[in-house]
Amino acid sequence: AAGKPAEFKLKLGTDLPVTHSVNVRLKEAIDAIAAETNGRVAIQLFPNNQLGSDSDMMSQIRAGALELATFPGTVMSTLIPATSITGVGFAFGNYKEVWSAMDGEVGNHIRRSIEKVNLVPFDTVWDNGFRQITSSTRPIRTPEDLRNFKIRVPVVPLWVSMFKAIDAAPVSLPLSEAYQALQTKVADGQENPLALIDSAKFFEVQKYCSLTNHAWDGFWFIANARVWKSLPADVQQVMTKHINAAARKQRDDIARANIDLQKTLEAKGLTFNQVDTAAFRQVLSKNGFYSQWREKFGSEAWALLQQYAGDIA
Amino acid sequence: MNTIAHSLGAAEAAPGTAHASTKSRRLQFAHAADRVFASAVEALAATLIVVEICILFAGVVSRYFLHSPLVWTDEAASILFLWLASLGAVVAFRRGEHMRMTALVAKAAPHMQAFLDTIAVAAALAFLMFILGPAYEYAAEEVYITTPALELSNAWRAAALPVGLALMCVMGIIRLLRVGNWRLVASALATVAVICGAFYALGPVLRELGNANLLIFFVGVTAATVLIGVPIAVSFGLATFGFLALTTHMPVMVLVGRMDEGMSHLILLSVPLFVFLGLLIEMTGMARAMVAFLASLLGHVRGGLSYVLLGAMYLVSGISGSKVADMAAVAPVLFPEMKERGAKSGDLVALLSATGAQTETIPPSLVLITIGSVTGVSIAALFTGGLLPGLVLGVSLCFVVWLRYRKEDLSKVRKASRREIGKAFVVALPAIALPFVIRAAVVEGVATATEVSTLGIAYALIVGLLMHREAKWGRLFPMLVETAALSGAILLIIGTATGMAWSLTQSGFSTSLAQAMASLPGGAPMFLAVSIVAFIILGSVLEGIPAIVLFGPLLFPIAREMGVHEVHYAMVVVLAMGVGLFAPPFGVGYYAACAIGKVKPEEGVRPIVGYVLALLAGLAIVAAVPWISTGLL
Ligand code: NA
Ligand code: NA
Repeated sequence: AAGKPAEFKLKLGTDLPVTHSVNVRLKEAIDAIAAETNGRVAIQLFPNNQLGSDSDMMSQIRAGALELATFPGTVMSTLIPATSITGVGFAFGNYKEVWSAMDGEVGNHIRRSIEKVNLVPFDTVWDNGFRQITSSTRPIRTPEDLRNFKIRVPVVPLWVSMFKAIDAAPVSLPLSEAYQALQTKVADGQENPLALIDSAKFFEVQKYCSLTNHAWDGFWFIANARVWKSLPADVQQVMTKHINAAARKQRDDIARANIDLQKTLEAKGLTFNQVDTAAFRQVLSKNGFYSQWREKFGSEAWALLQQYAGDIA
Repeated sequence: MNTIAHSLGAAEAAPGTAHASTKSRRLQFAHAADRVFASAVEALAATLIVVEICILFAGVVSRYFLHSPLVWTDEAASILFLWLASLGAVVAFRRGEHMRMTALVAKAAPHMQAFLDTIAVAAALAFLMFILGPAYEYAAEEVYITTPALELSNAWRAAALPVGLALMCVMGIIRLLRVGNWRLVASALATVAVICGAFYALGPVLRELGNANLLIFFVGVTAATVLIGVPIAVSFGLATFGFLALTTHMPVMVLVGRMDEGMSHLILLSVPLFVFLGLLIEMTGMARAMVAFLASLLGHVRGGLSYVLLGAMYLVSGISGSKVADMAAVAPVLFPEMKERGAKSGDLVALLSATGAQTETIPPSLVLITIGSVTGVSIAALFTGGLLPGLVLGVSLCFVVWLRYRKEDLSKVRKASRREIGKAFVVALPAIALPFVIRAAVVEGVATATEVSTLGIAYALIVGLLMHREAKWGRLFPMLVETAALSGAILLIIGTATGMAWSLTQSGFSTSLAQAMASLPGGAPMFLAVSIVAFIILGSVLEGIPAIVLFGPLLFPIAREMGVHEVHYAMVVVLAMGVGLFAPPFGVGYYAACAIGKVKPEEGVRPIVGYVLALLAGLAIVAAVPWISTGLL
């Protein structure tokens, strides 16, 4: 295959650093696809928002300027509201619940919504991770600790409303400005998966990391429908096989990395603490957060979520 | 920016004196249309700036003083910002204020000059017409997106582009009508049409050429159109449009999406706000007081105010994190007085642009934060490491200033007495305090870099009302319009340049280049030297941050393997990129400096050579002596 120009050239955009396990596993899958198709398919990976912000990549993939991409569900919710349901506050307690939901009915529900806007979602969802809160002022143990706490939150309506329901003071800033905002105390803390807390160097400007596990989000591997349909069935099949297999491996990577990451981040100066999530769920329930979002997602979707996450109301 | 050469502008001043009556009627109509249209767009743009200031100010007050942050302020500001940029671009187009390189045009015979000036409008019109359809499509697609904070349809925001571009089209037609010479207009339109037609006809041939098209369009077409005086933003836009439409299967809509993203980065909102703050400081008389004080201190030193400019940029660049904003904060205050004292505008803008590159490593810098997050180097270490390299380049610039001004005639300048200095200090105190107020507000976490200019504006308004009774408040509206036009001119360049950078990125040339750089003989010194050359070029064609995002992850591991300290490598790369970004003819930063300083781009081209050489010398020292970057760590 060497030297022969590829028959199908596809661009793949992600919003993650090169070294993130999603990109590492994608790279492996890309090589495997090239090998198995004898070089007919050449996928070029553009990590790190090289091709644009998430919202711009969304517009590119819908227009067909970009063929493949991965997006967090919460980001896609600006187009497809159903995709953020996995991020409902304190819904999932552990990965067993997450993966049975995503490989089961909750995943199916979201996949159907994605297909409606002419995008092709791949079956296996990748792990973005449970989100944790870091702080420069105090460790977060109870909902009271979050009262009036200025926390940088991505502008995801679900999460902003969650932190408002706990009486925190969510500050909306782009990720690129978060480091400086934490350094100058425009915000007291922020929340993200451990992998990002490490790669964005937030440990340099934060003291505590509270394992709140307050929300989970995954990455969807998406193809532009027109481009996808133009690929021969055998190519589609090879791509599906390798991308989905890579996603499974990436889930294990994160599970393993989380243990190591806590140790590395501790060594870099963050003090960790465990959190009893029941109290948070109670406050959210009392302040009407769950009923509000049940209405937004629809009771049908909510019932699916409850099948896996237990009774949240 | 009335300094910008424009024969079309001249037509405005002396409308058809000895024309036939039909012709003058037609011209009268064109003038009337122009006036009505202009006042409507100007009023809207001015209002948008005021609303932006209020929104950001409300954000600061509710977060810092009332402890209940408003989540929607950033989003609202960003939506309105795209509208401001688009309408500002229309105002700038009407006034002929979109940056052009008229060095060659100015040398041409008068009839040729008139022809090229008309070509510039015709080429802009062609670009606008090409992009209007895709812009509409883009906005129509955004109907389905709901903005996260305000939960509005994103079409409210995206519509700014098709609306702005359509208004520019109307403006372009009015401008052609106002030329009053039909044959000139027809021949210009025909020339542009023939060239576009020829490219279209060559399409199938071009498509076969693969990556050679990157050279044809982004070097060939860009350089040719820039040199014949087509506005820079239009040159970048035409090159990108041609590349996408003729040589790829990708929808041209992507260019509009990139313009949207490039033009509405919220940090860029600090550009118009600092520009307005600068004008406000000047209007209230605070600027005069401050410059009078600095002049009493340094006026008897040759090139004294140039040193002030250097110092001010070093101080201010620690505040905003965005270079264009830094320049906007400094130039409007210092330039008028410096020009009055006989400084040449070309030299001023060259120095301003050079300081833009020189202060690129001063924390907090967006570029350094970007490096930290894409390569894994500690951002805190980068912030510490960046102080001395910026200083080294500053010293080398000072040397050029000293060389240039050592024979300045100061026979008429008298050294101020202590008493005079003291008096000037008291009068200037509120103005001198301003940079410190702004700095403190950022360091203490009162406001973000984007918001802090609104605190400055509030401060300047209060000081102006209380202390400077001579302030000319009637100038507020024209100042707002001027701010809008300037922002439109700068942001449209940034927008189309972002589209150009995307086209280069998606071609995937980065990996091959990195591999080639790693395989060169000569070890670390060779790698550093090649990196400098590569990043000067990349900074020039890709703009700063996209170049880092694309090449950082590829080159930093190689540097590490070669034993180059990462912080050291970061400084070398950032400064090299800065030189490219702020050097003509491709550096967007240079045109931003010209726009802010209200200087014709060609005036600064010669003076900047000396400064660029100084920067390169400083850069060579920073590259050769790792301690400068790592000594403070
Ligand atoms: Na800076
Ligand atoms: Na450029």
